[in-house]
Amino acid sequence: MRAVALVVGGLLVIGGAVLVVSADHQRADALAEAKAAVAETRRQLDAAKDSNHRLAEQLTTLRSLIAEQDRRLADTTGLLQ
Amino acid sequence: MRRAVAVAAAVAALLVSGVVDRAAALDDERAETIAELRALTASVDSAQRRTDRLEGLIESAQKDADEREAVLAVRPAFVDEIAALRVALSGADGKVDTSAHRASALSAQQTVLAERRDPAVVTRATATVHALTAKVNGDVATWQAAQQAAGPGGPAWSSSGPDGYARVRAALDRVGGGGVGLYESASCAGGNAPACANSNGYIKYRADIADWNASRLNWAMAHELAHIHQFRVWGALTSSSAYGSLFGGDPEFLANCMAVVRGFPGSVGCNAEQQAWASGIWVGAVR
Repeated sequence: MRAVALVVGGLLVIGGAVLVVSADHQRADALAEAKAAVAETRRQLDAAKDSNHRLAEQLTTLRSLIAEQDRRLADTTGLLQ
Repeated sequence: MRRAVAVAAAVAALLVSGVVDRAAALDDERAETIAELRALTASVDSAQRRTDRLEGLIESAQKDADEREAVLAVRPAFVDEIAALRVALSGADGKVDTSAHRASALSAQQTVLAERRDPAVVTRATATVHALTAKVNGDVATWQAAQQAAGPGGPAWSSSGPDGYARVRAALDRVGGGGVGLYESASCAGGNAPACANSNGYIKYRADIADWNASRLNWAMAHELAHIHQFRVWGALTSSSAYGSLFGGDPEFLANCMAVVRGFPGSVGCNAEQQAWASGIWVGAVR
């Protein structure tokens, strides 16, 4: 009777240990997944910032061009006074 | 046996404690990572919205720049037409009234200066100025043809040219002789007098007086116009005793005094009585 109890107890201990190890793997996987998502999002943010910087420079160039065009359009050289 | 179970229980308790701590640490770290991910995602969304806004602004600015470039591309043609009109207006000076043409050109010019988007507006203004130039040149040609055809037995001018004639004509108009005929001629006193008046109601001038300064030219035309008015009352004038006593019967002296009362004194002085008498001739009154 005691032997049976030892066997059952041993099996329960082994089963519990398996469950604990499995849960630990799941937690570790979920953490790794979250960290990968953070890395990917950080890459996207850097790319978006680079893109915005280029666009801002392009807009500044265009606005300078328009200011120069407005100056030429307002020029009255050669016109009647 | 009991001791073994107790040891096993103690080991188990330590293991369970370690496992629980590790699980809690993993959960905490994951929660922090998720929070960081949320913050990063919000930043990415914000950056994307800024990208969209910048792209919209660039599209609008590019459109503005393209439109302005198109307007600028047709501006030189307009300026060229304005230059042509300026030449035409200069050539018409003293010959035809160009104030309306000039006003139209200035209006078209204002439209062009204000235009930023549509090159067709500038093109239309260019066509308008071109038409104005053609109209001014046409009016001047008509005026010249009329003047050339109007002379008594010859053209209105020869060596003084249309511009010289226009200057003398403007002086005669200025002193009140707008309706009096004017012709270039070298026949006044055999060419010795710079200008003379004809009893048929017109004035002749020698070509070189077109180069006289404005005040001298105005005086000369006022003097000749005075003779025209003398001719209109010639009978009464020559029989007037006052004419003889005040001016010695000299029509040139009287003409000078008549010019004085019109505001063109020349070099001859007239006293108040002579001026008062001379002023009557301008209105046909011989006292």
